[in-house]
Amino acid sequence: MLEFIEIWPTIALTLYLAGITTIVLLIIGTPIAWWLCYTKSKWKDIIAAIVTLPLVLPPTVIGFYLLIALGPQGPGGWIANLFGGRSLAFTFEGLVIGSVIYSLPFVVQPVRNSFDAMGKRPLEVAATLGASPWNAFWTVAFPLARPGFMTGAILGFTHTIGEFGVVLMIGGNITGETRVISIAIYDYVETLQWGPAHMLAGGMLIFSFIIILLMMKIEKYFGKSRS
Amino acid sequence: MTLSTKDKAIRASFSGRIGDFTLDIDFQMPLTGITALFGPSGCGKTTILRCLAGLHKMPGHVTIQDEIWQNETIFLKPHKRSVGYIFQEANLFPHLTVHENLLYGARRAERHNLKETFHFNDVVELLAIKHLLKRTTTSLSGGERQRIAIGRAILAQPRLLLMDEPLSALDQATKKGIFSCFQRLHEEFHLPILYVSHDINEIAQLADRIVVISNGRKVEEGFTSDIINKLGLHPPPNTSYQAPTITAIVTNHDKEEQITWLDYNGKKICIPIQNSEIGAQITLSIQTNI
Repeated sequence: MLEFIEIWPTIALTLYLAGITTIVLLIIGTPIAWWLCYTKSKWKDIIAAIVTLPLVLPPTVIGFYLLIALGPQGPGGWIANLFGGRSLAFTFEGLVIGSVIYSLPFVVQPVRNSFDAMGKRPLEVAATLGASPWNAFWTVAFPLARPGFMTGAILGFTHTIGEFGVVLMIGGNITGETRVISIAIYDYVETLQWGPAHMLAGGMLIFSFIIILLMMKIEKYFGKSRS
Repeated sequence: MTLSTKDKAIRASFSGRIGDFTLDIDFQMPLTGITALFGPSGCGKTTILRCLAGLHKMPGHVTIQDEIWQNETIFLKPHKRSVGYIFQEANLFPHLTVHENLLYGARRAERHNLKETFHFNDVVELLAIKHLLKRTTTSLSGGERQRIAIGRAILAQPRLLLMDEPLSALDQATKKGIFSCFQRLHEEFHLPILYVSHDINEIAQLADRIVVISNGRKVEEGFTSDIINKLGLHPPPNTSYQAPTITAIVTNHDKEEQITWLDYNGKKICIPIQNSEIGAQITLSIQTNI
């Protein structure tokens, strides 16, 4: 019980970070996915490649550049100055920015796939029935692309919970601020505290299993309702 | 053939390129009845419909009576044009029930204060879809889906209904059912319909007027029977729609006898009473029963 009280702030912080990141990712990722799906711009492939980069880059590389960008000499430092801070590195806000960039392809890709699968026709039908583009998005595109949004949200959330390299580079290990589950497990193992390390690692294992099961169920449900 | 000034209700002209394809067309149609756009696949029929609906932007002019939808300075977005569009596939919204699909356009028409010319119950009755209202769209047959799509478009209170080969995805038996719906629609609702098809049989039976297109240009325009005779487009024999047609003008209705008198080149013809106005043109298809 004592061990749980000790690890609870870490779990709460991790869930809070993942929740905020997922919301920001859906807000930023949806227009990017929409643009990538429907644009005829020559920049389309370049932007798509940039969005996909975090998928293949080592987290330490992303973390390194983020550290520079969020530090006192980078734009992060300039933003922090506006609020009386010195840098966004090693802060919760910096961690949110890093997580959003790191998990972006995990949200954009499934949402974009859903828009692709839907095609333009339902939106054209809605337009000829008097729906403005904004109205057609909420009444037609969003409900039809719901499986993509759910998959994207789940992947973005779980990926943020599981991130390690980026957090280590830009967040450090500050309890209640930047100490997330993956960092805590590493820290417990380093200091030979096997009990809390087991609890966190076991918890992550069960959590990940449930998420995968949930995603399979969602896919099955929407697959059925579509046919 | 040109329409009289009174009848020049709908005018459209487009001139532009899409890749290698050039469209250069100018045509007009009256405010009632069915006008067919006829031509081989790839001649630009669907592009014209898309331009009329505002789904494709091409330089040109579109006026519906006194309302300008497009000219050099104006281009109304699709949702601002009172247009119904029936695609080859029904394209019902799968996340909505049949009833909700039907009301999708109707609710928006109400919000935009469009006059309710076509009432829900009348449309549902005409298309014989009352028993389907509570169903989901996935449980419908192809013909049922297309009937719902037609109802949904009409309930959006359009001033012009565009149909892009609406029968092409259906089997022969289903086609006949929908076909009779079109004929009733033509008789009971005064809604101008622009009907795209590459099947002269369908057009001969359904359309009052025809615009013949080839390679993005207008070849002929006029009464269906005249153009069919002029261009020798007679439907091939031994098809289910085989029927010669003539276009006659309504001269008067005899309500006692329940007949309508028509004038065809000075000759009088009587048919079962119709809901058409005096002076309106009616296309008759002539069939023999042996």
